[in-house]
Amino acid sequence: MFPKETALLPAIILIPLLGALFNGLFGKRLGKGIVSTVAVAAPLIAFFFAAALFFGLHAADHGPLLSQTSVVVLKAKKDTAGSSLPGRLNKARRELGKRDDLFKIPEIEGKDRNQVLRLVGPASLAGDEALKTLAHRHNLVVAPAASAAPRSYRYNLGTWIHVGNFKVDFEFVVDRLSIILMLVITGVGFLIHLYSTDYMGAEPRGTYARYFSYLNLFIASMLVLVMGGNLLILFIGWEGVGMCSYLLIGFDYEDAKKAACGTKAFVVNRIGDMGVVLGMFCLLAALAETTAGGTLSLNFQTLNLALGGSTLNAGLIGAGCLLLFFGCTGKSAQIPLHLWLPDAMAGPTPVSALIHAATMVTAGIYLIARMSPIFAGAEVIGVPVLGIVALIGGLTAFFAGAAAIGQDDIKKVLAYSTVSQLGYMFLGVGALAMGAAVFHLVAHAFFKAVLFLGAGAVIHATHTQSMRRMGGLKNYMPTTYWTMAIGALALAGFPLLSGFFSKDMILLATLLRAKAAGAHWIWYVLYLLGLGTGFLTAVYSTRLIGMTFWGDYRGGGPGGRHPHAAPSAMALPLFVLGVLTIGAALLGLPALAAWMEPGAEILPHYLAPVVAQASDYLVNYPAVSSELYHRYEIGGLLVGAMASLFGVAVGWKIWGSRAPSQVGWESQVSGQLASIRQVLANAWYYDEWVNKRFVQPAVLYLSALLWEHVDDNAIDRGLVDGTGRVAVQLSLFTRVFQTGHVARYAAYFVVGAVVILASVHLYSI
Amino acid sequence: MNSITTPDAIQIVAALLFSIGVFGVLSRRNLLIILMSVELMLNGANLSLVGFAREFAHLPGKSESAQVMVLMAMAVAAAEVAVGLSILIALFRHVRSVSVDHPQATTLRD
Amino acid sequence: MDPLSPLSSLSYDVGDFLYVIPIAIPALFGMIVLILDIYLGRGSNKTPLALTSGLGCLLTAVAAWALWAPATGAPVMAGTLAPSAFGAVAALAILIGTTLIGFSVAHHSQSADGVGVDLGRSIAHGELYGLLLFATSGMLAMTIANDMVTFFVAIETLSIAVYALTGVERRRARSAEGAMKYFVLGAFSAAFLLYGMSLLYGATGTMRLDVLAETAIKPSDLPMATVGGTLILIGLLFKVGAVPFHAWVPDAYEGAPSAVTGFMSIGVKVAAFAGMFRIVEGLGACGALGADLAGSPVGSWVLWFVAALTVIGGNAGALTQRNPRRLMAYSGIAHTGYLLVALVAFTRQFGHSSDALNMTYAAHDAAAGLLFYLLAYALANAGVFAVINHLERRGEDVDSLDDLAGLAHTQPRSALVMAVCLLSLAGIPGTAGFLGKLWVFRAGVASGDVGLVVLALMASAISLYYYLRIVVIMYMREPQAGTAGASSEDPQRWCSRLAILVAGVLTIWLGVYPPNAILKLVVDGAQALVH
Repeated sequence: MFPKETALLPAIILIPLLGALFNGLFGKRLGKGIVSTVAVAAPLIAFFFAAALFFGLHAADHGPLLSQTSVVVLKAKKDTAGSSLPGRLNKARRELGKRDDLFKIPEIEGKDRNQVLRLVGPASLAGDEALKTLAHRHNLVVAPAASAAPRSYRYNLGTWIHVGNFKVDFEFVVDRLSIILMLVITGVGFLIHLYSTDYMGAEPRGTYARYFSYLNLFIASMLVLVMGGNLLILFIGWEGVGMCSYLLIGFDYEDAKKAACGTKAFVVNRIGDMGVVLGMFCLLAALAETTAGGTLSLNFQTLNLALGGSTLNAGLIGAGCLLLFFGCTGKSAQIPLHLWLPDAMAGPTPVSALIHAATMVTAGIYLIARMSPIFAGAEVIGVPVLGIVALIGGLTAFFAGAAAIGQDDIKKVLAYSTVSQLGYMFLGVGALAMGAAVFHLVAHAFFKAVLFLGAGAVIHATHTQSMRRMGGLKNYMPTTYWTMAIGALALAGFPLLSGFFSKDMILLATLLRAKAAGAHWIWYVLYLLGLGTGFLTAVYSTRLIGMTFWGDYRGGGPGGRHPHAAPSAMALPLFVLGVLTIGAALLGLPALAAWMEPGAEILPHYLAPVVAQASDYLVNYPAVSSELYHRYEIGGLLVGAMASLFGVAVGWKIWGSRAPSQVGWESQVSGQLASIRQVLANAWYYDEWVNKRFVQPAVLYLSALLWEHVDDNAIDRGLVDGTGRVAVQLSLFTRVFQTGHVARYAAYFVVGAVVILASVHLYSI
Repeated sequence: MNSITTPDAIQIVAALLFSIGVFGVLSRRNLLIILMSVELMLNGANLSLVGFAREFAHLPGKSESAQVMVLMAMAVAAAEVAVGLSILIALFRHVRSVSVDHPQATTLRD
Repeated sequence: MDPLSPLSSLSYDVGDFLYVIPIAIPALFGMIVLILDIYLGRGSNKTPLALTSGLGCLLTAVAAWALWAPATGAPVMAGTLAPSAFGAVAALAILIGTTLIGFSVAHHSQSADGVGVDLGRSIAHGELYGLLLFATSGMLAMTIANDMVTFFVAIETLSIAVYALTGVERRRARSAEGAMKYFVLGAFSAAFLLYGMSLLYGATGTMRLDVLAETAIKPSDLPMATVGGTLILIGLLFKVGAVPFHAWVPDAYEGAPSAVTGFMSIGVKVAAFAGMFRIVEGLGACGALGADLAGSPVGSWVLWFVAALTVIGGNAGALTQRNPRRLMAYSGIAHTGYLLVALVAFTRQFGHSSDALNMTYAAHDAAAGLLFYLLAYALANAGVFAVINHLERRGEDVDSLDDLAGLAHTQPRSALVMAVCLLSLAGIPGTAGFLGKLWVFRAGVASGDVGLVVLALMASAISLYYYLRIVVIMYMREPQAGTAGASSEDPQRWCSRLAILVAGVLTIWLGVYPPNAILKLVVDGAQALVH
């Protein structure tokens, strides 16, 4: 037998974890070479393992890639008894082992009477005479394989919690959804690790090892998040990535400001995490009533099956989904909890690229996609939860997109852009286009990683983050320029780049959602918001490139050095990601390329069996290949392209190669637009508002009350000191009896004995 | 006194012996006397055992165990006295007194 | 055959002698050690004595596991012994104490530089190991004694050996004083025990515990039986150090040398508790614990109050102690209190309440919890005292907690094990002590004694203070010159380092992932006790 692929599941998590442990424990004493080798190798090996799993999954469903395959099953004849079926199947299986044209070792699956032997082989298999005779000999028949649910790998490390009828296994599941995310996490993760070896190269050895230890730990946690087979394991990863994010934002912990940013991110995330926990409780409660005494688990499969579309306990399910989404707004930086992400830019730039753009912040999208059958049917007082998701996503996308235009800090632009793009993804998720959202997630992971890493190279070269002091870098760092330009175009949704297709797919889904029977008019608003965001995105992308790369170099100052080109370990990931940014378009070519059927919309098509489909939940929702669908699709593509091109043109017109001082918009003190610019630069004053309305009153009244009166007076002085005082008095009292006189001890003995004897005598009947 | 049977009388004497021993331990400060009082208590218990054994003498297999117990208890008492006297001597070497209330014999306290 | 017939009490199956082997080995090795000591001569390295007694304990453990664990608890040797897994687990706990403590004092006779003789300490090693092994023999006999005669002899064997051990440090006045107090009160309690046995015998006509359990006492004899049973209980409560019979504990523990204190705190307590459960099973079944109007044994309520007093008294007393031995004495009293919770839960099965089945489950839990707790307690106490013994050298006695200051800097491994063992005693999750407490308190809740369990929990929260204070002193204070905490590791003392390592590792192992074999043994032991 081949080594079981499932053994790779724990290995994938274990490798980065061991890397983190190794670097964390020994890194300080070892050289940077060993540290970086270990750190970079870990995600790379994990990536190869993930790729192996991907091909394994593919082979399980379709046989090897790139060959004409057919899948057939051998099953019992109708009239024969089922008792000896396993034996017969096993015999057939053994005989088939001699055939060398099968792609996989035949597998027995199914239960009892329905047990079948599954064969994957060349296309000729269905009509193979030898196979038919063999089947006949064992009282079996050859039949085409019924289209089953796509395979997944499952690895159970054993029961983790078992209390009463509540049982949680420590299990990992890899299906189509998680494998996509795993490939992104390990692949992009590897590139960013590689990039970091140079970016962090100047740090002292201890710091260097600490950095890579955290980064590997993050990869491991993120993998736990996407591979967890139940909500609780997911939550381990969820908290793990939160912790790594905190550690890495405040990585330069001696800088109090940066440490405070880390704390802010942590606290805001914690508020969201409370939602996840409460949501978990709600879903568990709903499950408890649905299964009525059966085994309770937080398995995704169980939850999706039992609660998806369940009308029983609709309130609990709706509340649970809403609370889970509240957790997602924390982790994925959506309104109202988006305020931590721009501050998270205090961390090293590769960290921003990996954690705060490509992977961790997409955990919310993953969670909703993972539980999409429940979310799709969930309602809170008549309002579909996914509608709320889409609304929040649309609003976040628009407002964050606008705020990005007002930023001077190159990383802040990217941060607001990330918030905005995540809003896009939630819009897609809300419109029940899980596949489109995941496609945008993947594409975004590539081009945003390019942009962040490019920004990192720029910061590395110019020693500033303010775009006002950049400009003209095109000539100094051409590789960075070209790759970032591709990334920015993709972000802007420039036609034929990945971002163009992914955004259009989301917008199309929103439009179709609006057209579905009984849809609220708000969906049209959301579509327009999405379109507007597309325009804004194109504007700020162009502005970013223009202010950074075009015109003349404004930095340096007296005796300032010229910026240098990125070193090779930084250039290589940029290059690879740039290629991926272009190539990712292939993952989601529009379905109107009818000649590619059924490969069109490749990624959504691939994911379709594992996530909820709009057509299953909405009436009048056009099928992918229908005439109506194509009509909307063509229209959508054209409108989207126009919005994008218009945005780029506006950006070009306003910023072009000019220095910021010559652009009216960049002045914050004069001009007609200064006040708007002020509002956008301060991101709609949301932070200030939260601070004034929530944080300050809480500090002023609540914490004063809790601290001075409840904590200090009642708990500290009363309970804590009081307990201590009582205990000490009791102790001194006890010691009084210990006089050291043995006769006294004997007296205690006798008194005790007499009291006991007397009480036994008195109370006995 | 007619109403008291012999077995009861034995038990009463045993209980008295035991109680005298307890009183001795509680009231005396001389370690040697305390040791003697403990012996008195043990012997009270022994007497009680022998008395019960006599009561069960007509029943097969019942009285032997008590008799064995008495023999064992006597042996144990002897061993105890041996150890007790050596402890007494060890204490006397440091304290120069056999009083259990001597200040130097009550240093372990609180 | 009728168990009461004279023939049965005299007939021996030769095979029964197998069950005596685990009791005989320590006694035999005790003699070997005494003889070996003569051959080693004065002032030589006494490590062979530790190794020999360690070998003896190992053989005993193997024998106990192999011979007692499979036994069902049926009486053998004419009814004097009832070997079972219960005895095997208790034996393991006792042997952990003997072995680890024995190992940790192995190098005491050597001076710090490993050359000459350590004149500062006057412990005679031959006698120390000999008495340790003799006492161990008595303890093992006590765990499986089925006959009050055997029981009395066993308890006296261990007691007399421990009296002598307490006074083994002849040149110190405090050792003699501690021995005197322990001896006087011990002999006093032995008399109570013996008198109680006599009265119980008078009421039931039997000395055998299994027969006792099936005896129906005549109503006219019942008062005598309850008085007898209560006196026996009092004698045993003295041995485990329950309030108000605890007064000897702090003084004897402080007076004795640390090695002996460690041994006492483990062996005596484990054996006394094992014996107490076995005797209470007999007492309760025949009704000698009395019964109140509600049909619940009066003994349960007596034990309830004793347990409450003991957890309060033990923890309160420990709070303000400065001497580690005295602190551990009060800590030991507190642990007696926790175990008495199990005993209370255990005795509830003898009532006539409606949910007798649940009470049987609670009793089963209590017995299993007791056994696991004893193992955990033995390991943790062995760890603490092994570290103290390891540190004690000429002029560097550990007589005050301040002597441990800065230990984490000078001997990090010892400090770590000490901290782990203290946390285990405090019942922090991840250590064996936590599982033990959990098990015991679960039994208490199952039997309906929630109030007592809550009290014990609050008291054990207080206990954190004095356990953690030691950890704080070890980790957060600077070492003071001339104290044990400032001395660096002595590579000569590999025996004591081994003991420390074993105690630490096993405490964590039992706490994190207790091996199935041990759990099965514990459950079997409880099964053998509660039918």
